[in-house]
Amino acid sequence: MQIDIGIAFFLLGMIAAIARAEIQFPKALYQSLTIFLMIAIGLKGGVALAEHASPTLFWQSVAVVLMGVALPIIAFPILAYIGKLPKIDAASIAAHYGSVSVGTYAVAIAYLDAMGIRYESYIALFVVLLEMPAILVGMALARLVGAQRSDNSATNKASLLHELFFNQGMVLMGGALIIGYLSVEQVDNVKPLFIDLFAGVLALFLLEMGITAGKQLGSLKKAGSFAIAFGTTMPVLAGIVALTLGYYLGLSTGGLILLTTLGASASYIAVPAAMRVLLPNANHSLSITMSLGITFPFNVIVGIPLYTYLITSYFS
Amino acid sequence: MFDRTMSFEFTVALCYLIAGISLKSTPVGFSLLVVSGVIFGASVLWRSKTLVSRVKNGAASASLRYRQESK
Repeated sequence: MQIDIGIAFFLLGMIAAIARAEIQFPKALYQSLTIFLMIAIGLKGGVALAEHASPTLFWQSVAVVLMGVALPIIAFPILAYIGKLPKIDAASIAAHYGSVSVGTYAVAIAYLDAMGIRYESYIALFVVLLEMPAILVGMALARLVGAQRSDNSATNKASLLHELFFNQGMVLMGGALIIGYLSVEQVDNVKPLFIDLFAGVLALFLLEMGITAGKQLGSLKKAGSFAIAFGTTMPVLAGIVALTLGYYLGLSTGGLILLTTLGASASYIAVPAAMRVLLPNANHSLSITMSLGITFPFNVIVGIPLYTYLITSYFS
Repeated sequence: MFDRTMSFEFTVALCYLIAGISLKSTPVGFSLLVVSGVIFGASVLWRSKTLVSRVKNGAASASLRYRQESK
């Protein structure tokens, strides 16, 4: 039986955390790995963008941003009215599920490369674009239902704008995307570092993520069974929305898998940081437990192989 | 006890169970069966724990009331 190497490293990390093995990743190394992945994906996307830039891509991007607006709106009523969570927590978690995870996207890319499935590399542009709308919708939802008082102070607006345009993903991935787009011919010079080492660095990243997810398992007892059910259902619901959109946008089989994975993923870097500033009274440990402790492992272990199996069976 | 949230959890577990059974010949099908089992198990455990703590709290408050009334 063959198991994907990335998934294997992730499982190893989880087992190590459950067995309380003494494996410690320095925080700086984890941050370095994240930075590496963001730059590598951005550069690759920038090169593809230079080859495929067209008015069609512009309209595709608009449609994808609208999807980023729709996903938190779908998630919110499930969280607030079925899960009976406080409205402010529902808004915050909905924002997490409307946004995307670069780590999950990186796993999907590696999975497609290993399976030999071709895809549109410019989808990295969608990763950058999808960071922003969910944060705004999450905040708007919290204010609409009266969970957060309207605060028009200049400091709050400045924090919001700063988190929207200068979060890690936006700066590093967006920046690398522009660099890749403008320096297509010179990207070969950095290829040995950012492209050839991608799979190995991703394996290290997944080992660390497995350890983190394993440590989060204890928090699941507090989060409750609804969190587990939602954390495994929302990826599929959002994946169906993204798949439908990708189908009408005319993406290839690999592109459909990537867009489905993007829709299915939940943010655990950019949105938590933004929500701490914008909705300080929300339960942030619950949202991070759900996105990092439930949805990320679900997507890596079950989701991506499931989306690939279904899409290659019915859409290729 | 069987409320809207629990119906949602059971429906999700059932969906994964059906999907898992229909894809049972693949590793993905096996994973879906595991997910279904985890959601179902977590739901039952969580509710029973909540029920037990409610019964304990109920018994404790009844005992306290009895003692106060006896005085």
